[in-house]
Amino acid sequence: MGVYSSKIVKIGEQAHLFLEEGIVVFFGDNAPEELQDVAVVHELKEVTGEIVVGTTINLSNEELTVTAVGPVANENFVNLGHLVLKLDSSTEAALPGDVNCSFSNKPEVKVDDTIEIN
Amino acid sequence: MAEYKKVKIERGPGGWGGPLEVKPTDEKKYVVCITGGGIHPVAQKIADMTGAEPFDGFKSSPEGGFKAMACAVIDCGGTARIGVYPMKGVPTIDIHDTSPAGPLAQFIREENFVSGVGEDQITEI
Repeated sequence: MGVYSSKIVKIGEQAHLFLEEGIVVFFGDNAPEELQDVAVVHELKEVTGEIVVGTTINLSNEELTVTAVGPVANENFVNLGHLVLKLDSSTEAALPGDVNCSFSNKPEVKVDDTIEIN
Repeated sequence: MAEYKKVKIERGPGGWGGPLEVKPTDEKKYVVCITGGGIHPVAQKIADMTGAEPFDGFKSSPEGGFKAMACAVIDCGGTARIGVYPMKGVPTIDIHDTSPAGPLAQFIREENFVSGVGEDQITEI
């Protein structure tokens, strides 16, 4: 059984500030407006597992592989639907909420795209 | 008119920024907690000591929006919330050990942000 599966319902007005730096900030659609503004907003579903090194994330039909997980990343995801993907292939999470990922092609995230975490 | 008291909030052993002094007013009377899972003990303690009202900012927004926030308590992992509330002019308290990073780092200063905060870092002045 996968960890998470949902679809993108909104791209916040300022999400591009992060996307341009290879950072995808997710918040669930229950998050306050000021956080949705900087986020890729997904339809909030139940999280049914833990993200670990080696977990694969399919985002907008591109496959990412998790290379590092910060100590508060899973807690934030379960509690808030909040996930921060850093597309930098780093094997050390620089910040406690980071989930670092390697990738072949950078995902171009749009509304109605899907995110699957396995 | 409610009576409000001032508290000092210092950085924890691994934290950054501050100290912040928070004193609510009738206009800024909410300690807004954006951590998920209800009111965090740090937010509750600030509210109890100052006479402010704790408010779960993940469930709804307080009347008056950012202007009504005496401070925001977050459990940010370092990228997003760390910058959003300072950018909106709200003194921000992170319970995790973080320092300015990410695209919004320019908004995060020692005067509006303190991290690594636990209940021990809050004192009455």
